[in-house]
Amino acid sequence: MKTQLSRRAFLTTLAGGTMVAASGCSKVIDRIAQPDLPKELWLPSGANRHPIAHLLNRAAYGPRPGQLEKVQQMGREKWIEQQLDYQDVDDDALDWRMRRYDTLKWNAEDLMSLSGSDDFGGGDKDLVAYELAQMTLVRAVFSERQLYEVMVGFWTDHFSIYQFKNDVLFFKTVDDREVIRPHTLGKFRDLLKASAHSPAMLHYLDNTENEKSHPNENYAREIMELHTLGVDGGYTEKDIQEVARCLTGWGKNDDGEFEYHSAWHDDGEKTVLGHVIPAGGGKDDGDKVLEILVNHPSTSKFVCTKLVRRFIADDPPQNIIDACVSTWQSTDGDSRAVLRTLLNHPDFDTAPAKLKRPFELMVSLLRATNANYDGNRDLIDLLDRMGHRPFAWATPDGYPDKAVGWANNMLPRINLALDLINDELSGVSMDVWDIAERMDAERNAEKLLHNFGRLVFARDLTVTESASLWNFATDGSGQKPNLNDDKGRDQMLQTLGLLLASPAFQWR
Amino acid sequence: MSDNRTHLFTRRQWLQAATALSAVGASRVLWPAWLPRLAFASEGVKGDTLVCIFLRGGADALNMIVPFGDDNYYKARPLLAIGQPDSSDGVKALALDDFFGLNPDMRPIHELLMNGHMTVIHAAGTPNVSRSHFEAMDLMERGTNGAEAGIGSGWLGRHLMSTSAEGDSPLRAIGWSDKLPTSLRGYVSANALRSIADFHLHGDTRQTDQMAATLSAMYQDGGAPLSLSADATFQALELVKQIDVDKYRPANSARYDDSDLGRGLKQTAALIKAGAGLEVACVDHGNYDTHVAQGRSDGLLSGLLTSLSQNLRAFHDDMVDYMGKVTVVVMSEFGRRVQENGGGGTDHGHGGAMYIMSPHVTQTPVIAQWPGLNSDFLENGDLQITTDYRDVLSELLTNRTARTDLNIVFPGHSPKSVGAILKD
Repeated sequence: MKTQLSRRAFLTTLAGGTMVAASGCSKVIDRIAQPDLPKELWLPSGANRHPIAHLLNRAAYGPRPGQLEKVQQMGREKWIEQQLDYQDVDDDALDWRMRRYDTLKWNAEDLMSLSGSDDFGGGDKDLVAYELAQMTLVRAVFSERQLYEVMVGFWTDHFSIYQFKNDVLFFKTVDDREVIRPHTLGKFRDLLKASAHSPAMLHYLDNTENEKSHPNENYAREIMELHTLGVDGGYTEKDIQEVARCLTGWGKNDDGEFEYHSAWHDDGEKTVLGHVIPAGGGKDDGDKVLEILVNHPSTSKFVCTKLVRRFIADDPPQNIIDACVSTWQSTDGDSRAVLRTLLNHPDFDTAPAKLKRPFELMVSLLRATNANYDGNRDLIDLLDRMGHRPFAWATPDGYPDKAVGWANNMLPRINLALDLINDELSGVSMDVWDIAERMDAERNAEKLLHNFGRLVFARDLTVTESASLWNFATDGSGQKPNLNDDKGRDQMLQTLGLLLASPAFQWR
Repeated sequence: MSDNRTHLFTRRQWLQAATALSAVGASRVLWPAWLPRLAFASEGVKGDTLVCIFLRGGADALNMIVPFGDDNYYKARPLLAIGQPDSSDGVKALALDDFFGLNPDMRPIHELLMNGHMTVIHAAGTPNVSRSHFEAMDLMERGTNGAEAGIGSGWLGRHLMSTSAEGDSPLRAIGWSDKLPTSLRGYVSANALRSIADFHLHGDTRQTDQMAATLSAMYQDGGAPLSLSADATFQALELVKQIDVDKYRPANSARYDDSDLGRGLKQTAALIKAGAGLEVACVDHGNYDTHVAQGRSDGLLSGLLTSLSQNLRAFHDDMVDYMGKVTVVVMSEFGRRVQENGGGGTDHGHGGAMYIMSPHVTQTPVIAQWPGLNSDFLENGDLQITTDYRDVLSELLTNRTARTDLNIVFPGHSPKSVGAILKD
């Protein structure tokens, strides 16, 4: 399993152009791009999960073997700072994995030229929808810019766009690349403005149909209810109508780019949330609305509440929300600054458990076991069956972020871990015995169980875990499985599968 | 095609028979090979078992329940219209009353509609005007018209939550599909099953029982709501293991076909008869998105309608002894445009139809406040909605399930009476 060439050296060689056809060597790339494990893995002990593991379960998609000790050495604050300066984090290996997806860099016009399927899938449209979802999963699993990916996920839910409404998927690929990702760790104002000029959003929420003679209030309603003020943020039905009037004519052209149609615009005077917008403003009316919404106090409260829910608890504690709002207000809605406050808050380490949503469960499982994933569609289909395919929540409120929305249909969540350990996940490979060797546990079954538990949970196994799993491993006989024969090794493999399928792994 | 081997009772006769049967049901002499003996079966389901069939893709209600009394129907559909019942047309509707007729491919359910075992609510649907399939389906399954965003759960999920109690069956709610239907979201014990046979733990199949026991022990301390959900899953696994659906033989020679619908209904029947405590089953049917080649008796729609009505009839015949405590409801995300298109099909529309099968329905085959198909009465070319789908579902829950809280199931909606289904 050890690579001959160092990963860095290999990637440099690739970048130098000695290997041109990336697609021809994608298996090689997957292998070389896979993070190296340290020779000896550090295994936290004690009754409580190591606080760095907690950090990596919230500010990242779960720890990889070896990551804990790195972050510990660096210090948590420094790691957070490094993650916030995400552009300086080397992600070459990931970039190579991304090369297999053709449509990610295309503009809307080229994407729209793809055709050949109806609303129910198949053909080129499928390709576009899948590639964006596959890319999202691959990045979550492999990117070194973990906090950035977690926040991309947060804003993707906040400005949720459903790929499968009419032709939205063509524009969503552009929206992800040009709206969400560039502004993920920037100012909220810039993100909101980019989103309001995004053909994907305008099309998805019907603002492309919003004209003076037939106003369509859909986007006007959602931009206040879901993107800025929140449902109790202090706006009225009249405000929705007035915002809709301000946004008449904001749409897209035939090339799938933003275009303002002045002939559709209602140029009369409007009043939005008490602010008078004089007649004759043209496109500026909409820009003024965005400014009013960004500066409204409800917006910082609403968005910070959601952030605290995402990172801390289903019922977000008011003191942490207040701290975030205060930072938001003093930094003009700077996501980096707000995250710094949130992640360094004294109550962060004692936050209650959050249930992993299926995407987080899958990603954290692949990370925890240093599994390789070839970026195929099958895992996207599996996420779909678990109800959490990226960009597939039909309504604009985004995927639920509370346990009650996800704590049913448990069998697929359990089978996911059992499939992984039994090499039954398509395009996914992992090597338990390599990990065992690095934990000095490849010859002792009992040590393997306990060390694997410490690796994955960053604490000792509980009495229940240890008793239940060891009872299974020994088939109730107390007879230790022999790791020198296939039967014993398989029994331990199944035992570790159960450990990964256990409730502790379902929580972040 | 029509299967008359099963005698159809009148509703009154049926109810008398059902009362008599429930007394003998407990002392079944022969225990069929597929049927498990269930610990909690004695509790029983308090209200009806609800079977919800969703016709995916926007079913063309106008060619299913044909408004043959409306001239504008024939003007709008020169190629696709189904003939009047007394016309010389080779494809003609089966009269339901003096205005509506049934598509001839749906003949197997004609008798049910005429004898008070089924009813149709026409011009029904969601007030939301989305013509996107998925958005419309999603809103309908979540039981909202879009104004109450943030409701991540489905209407059935909330119904089940509002009625859940200690000792409920782990199989209260099933979606017969790969993924959990949106309507069931929010209820912790809901499961998605492709089939009874597919519902099992993966991993080493020789050790399934030991694996389940190990997991179950760990999930006891799993933290709410996970511990509850997992507990239901392990109980369901245990229960499902005992049901040998391959050996299940439907009663009265009822024949289900091999579609998702047929398989889902057949397994639903097996679980109900097994006394598994099933309260809600969701089944999908079709791809009703007939933009092209919709046809009359030979197109895409014809095959779907044949399968739909054969399976509905099979379920009815198979379940005839149980129907007093089962309600089937059929719906779709929207109907289709009144005017046929240039491709021999129909485009996305608005108003559609809902179907209810139960001996407790009204004796009226079609309930409709018909808005008319005259262009003055259309809404952007579509049939208007005169009955909110939530009114139908509210009535169904109120009259046929033990207890429900409509404020939770359909928040912000004040239900109106439809007169489709009765308490007794």
